[in-house]
Amino acid sequence: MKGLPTERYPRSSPRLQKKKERLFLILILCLPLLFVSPVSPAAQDYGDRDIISLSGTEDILSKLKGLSLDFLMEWKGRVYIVASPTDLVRLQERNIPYVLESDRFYRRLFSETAAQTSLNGAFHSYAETERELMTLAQDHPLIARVVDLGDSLEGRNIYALKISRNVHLDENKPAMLITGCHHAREWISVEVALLFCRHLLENDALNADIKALIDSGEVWVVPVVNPDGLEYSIHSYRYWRKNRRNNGTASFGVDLNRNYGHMWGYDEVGSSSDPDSEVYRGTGAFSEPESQAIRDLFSRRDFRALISYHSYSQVILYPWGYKHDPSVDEGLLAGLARQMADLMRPVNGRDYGVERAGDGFYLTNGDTTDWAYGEYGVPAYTIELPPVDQLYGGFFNSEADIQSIFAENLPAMLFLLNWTVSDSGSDLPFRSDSPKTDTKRKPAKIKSPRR
Amino acid sequence: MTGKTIHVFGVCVLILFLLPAPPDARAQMVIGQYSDEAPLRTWNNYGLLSALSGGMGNVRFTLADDAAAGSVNPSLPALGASFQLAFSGSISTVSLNRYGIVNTGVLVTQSDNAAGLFPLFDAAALTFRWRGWGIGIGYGPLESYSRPKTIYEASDAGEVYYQLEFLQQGLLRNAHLALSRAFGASVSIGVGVNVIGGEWEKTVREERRTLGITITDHKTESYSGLYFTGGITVRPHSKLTLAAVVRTPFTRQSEGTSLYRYVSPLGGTDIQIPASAANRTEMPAVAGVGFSYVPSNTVRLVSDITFFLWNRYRFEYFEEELERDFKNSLKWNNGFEFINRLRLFGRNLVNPMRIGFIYDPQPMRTPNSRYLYLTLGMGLTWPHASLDFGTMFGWESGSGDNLTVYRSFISLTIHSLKGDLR
Repeated sequence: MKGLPTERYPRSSPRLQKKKERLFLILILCLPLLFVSPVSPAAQDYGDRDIISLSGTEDILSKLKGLSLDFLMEWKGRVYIVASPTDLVRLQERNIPYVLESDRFYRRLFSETAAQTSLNGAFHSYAETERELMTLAQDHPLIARVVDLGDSLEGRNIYALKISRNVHLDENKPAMLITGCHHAREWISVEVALLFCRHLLENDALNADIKALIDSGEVWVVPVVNPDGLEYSIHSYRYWRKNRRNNGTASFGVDLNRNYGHMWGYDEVGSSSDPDSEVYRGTGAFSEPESQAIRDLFSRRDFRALISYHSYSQVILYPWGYKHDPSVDEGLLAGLARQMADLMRPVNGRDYGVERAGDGFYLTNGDTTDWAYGEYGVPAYTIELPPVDQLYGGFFNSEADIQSIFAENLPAMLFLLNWTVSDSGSDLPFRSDSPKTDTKRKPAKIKSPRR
Repeated sequence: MTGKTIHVFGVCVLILFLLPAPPDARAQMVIGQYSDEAPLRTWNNYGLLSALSGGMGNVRFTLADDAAAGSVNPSLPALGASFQLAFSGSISTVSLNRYGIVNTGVLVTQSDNAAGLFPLFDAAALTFRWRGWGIGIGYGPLESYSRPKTIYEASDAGEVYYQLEFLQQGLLRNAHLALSRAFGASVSIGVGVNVIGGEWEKTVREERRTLGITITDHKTESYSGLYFTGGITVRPHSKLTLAAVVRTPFTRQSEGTSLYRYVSPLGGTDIQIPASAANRTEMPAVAGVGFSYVPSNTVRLVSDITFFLWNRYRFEYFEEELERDFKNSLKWNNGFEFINRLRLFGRNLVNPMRIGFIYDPQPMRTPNSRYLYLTLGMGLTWPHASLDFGTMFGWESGSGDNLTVYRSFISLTIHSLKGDLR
């Protein structure tokens, strides 16, 4: 090139130039090879068999005798076996616990048949919940309104859907509150709450009973109390429980269902002061914006009943949770719960237990239901949705179970709503026997939703 | 070889290769940024890396003697040697602070527990100049998404009854073809086409062995995409080179799969929630300018300024746009090179010594963090070949985690010249 320091870039001889051109062409032709992935050895095809591992203890090994299993290897005290479906049944019959290891040895391409869908399938993420609530409100503008109760720690909106005739007026009707997803991993609690909204709105014009309930009362549904935790559960760790409070030193999260202001921090059994604990109660009652949002909503309306949905265990819990003793309203609280369970049983045959939380279940202090009953004297229930235990899925529910779980909870919700609208006036306030800390109802002042 | 030359050479070798990697080196993983798609180290990645530029502040826009620089400035091949073929690699010690489920509330590690070593092939690059035309071809990784594998086990009487395992691996590769043309005495213009591809995989696996319960969260992505680069290089004076470059914004597409699975053999339970989606990442446009000034035969000063349009970054993941609050960033690379001549093993060699400085602000608004890098490099050039070494030390501020980065490069270049490539 003229003007450039060509003496530093001498021209090649014609022979060398040709060699260079050939080399260049060869390299150009080789370029596509760079995109060819190295051929990996074909994965072992085990057909319908799984690789499982078992504890290599004498006790377990003795139980395996006579099963003619296909032993693969022994590693770190575990015995690895290639097991057919029949083998798995036989192991289950002998009550031998094993861990499925197939995913570690070869990839099962379940996703090949998966429909295009969001990460948590038919369950709702935060954004999907937001869209669903907006859609319901738009489709039923006279009886549904989305209300923004405040922001979560990470800035997500905590939404409530208010369902009532003349929904844009503050008529101070008797109200019932339904909450879901205090605990991030309990995805099914979001679905039950959302489906209840849809059921009420879509049946307002079709069902006279539901129309009457919407005429006479207010239903407030907060399907996701803990949106940050829900997103973390979807994207990072499925079994995340708490909110996303940064407690410092790599400890995250406050258990929102231990952060309410009635008997908060009563003892170290029903909640914990250790930030690493799954039931860490926070630095103070209502220290978290998510629980504050529920507190502020509750203080501004005439709530007369509450259901807080959780999973799992298949049980209806009522106060007290912070102590073993019954409340003075034991009969009324238990009676309503039993009526709900009786209505739920025929739907799918699932039996929901009825227990006083602190007596039959486990001690909890600072939870939603103790607070609602203790501070406001209203019947408040924690409904732990199916399954009944870890063996049947724990915090996992299959997508196919969403509708059936909602269906069996629907009569319970309608029953309590009907009680709220029709009968609560004669029964309330209950005579909560705990000292109250915050019973003053404030005038309604609720923000409009941010879009 | 004089005693003085031996002394200088020896000191440089010691500086570059005997410095141990900081044991607590951490990569770019800060709160708000523990997202799975975050690349290791910096977000501000553009083009392929080599030891020559890596040791000199990673300045590349005007370096025609760096074969890999064609990936950022496609006009350079028309100005370089008639033939260059370079291979580069690097090692990097990384000990992350927060990533995935690690130190974000689930798996808690001490600061040094999650150490990992990521040896990386960085680039294979070829440039060819012929009758005023220049062609550059290159291939190498652009970004790594790998994380140290982390396992937690709980045991009783020597038997593990609970295990939680996190594993993430991923790489984005780039291949480019640059075509450039020199016009007149001192101007070259070039365009480049770049194809990207890669894979990403994450597994979170939990075993409760007493009950025989396995919980798995397995996600994969397969990347593809295409973008273009443009560049113009001007030499208004034999001692001065100016360059301007641009990278088009592009979509990093991926086929994503996900499977949540809960297996409890004793309960006869096998719950699966599978999903698949066409994911999209809108990668930012990049524009930059640079200069190279050679006041004498032994000195070269170089500088690049690169603008990343991060506020256009979008991440759509399984039918949901995930919020990433990013701001634009302006990265500043500076380098200095001194040519030392020495005689080694009976041969006359050119021995460039390099030093550089990089200011690298990260795109996240919160925390507002930036890296400062110091780079060191040296080379050995003899007829038709050169060997270059480079080391980068980076210190982050702003996140509160005092992250650091260490990376060491080596490049081998075969070329058509009998001496210095510049």
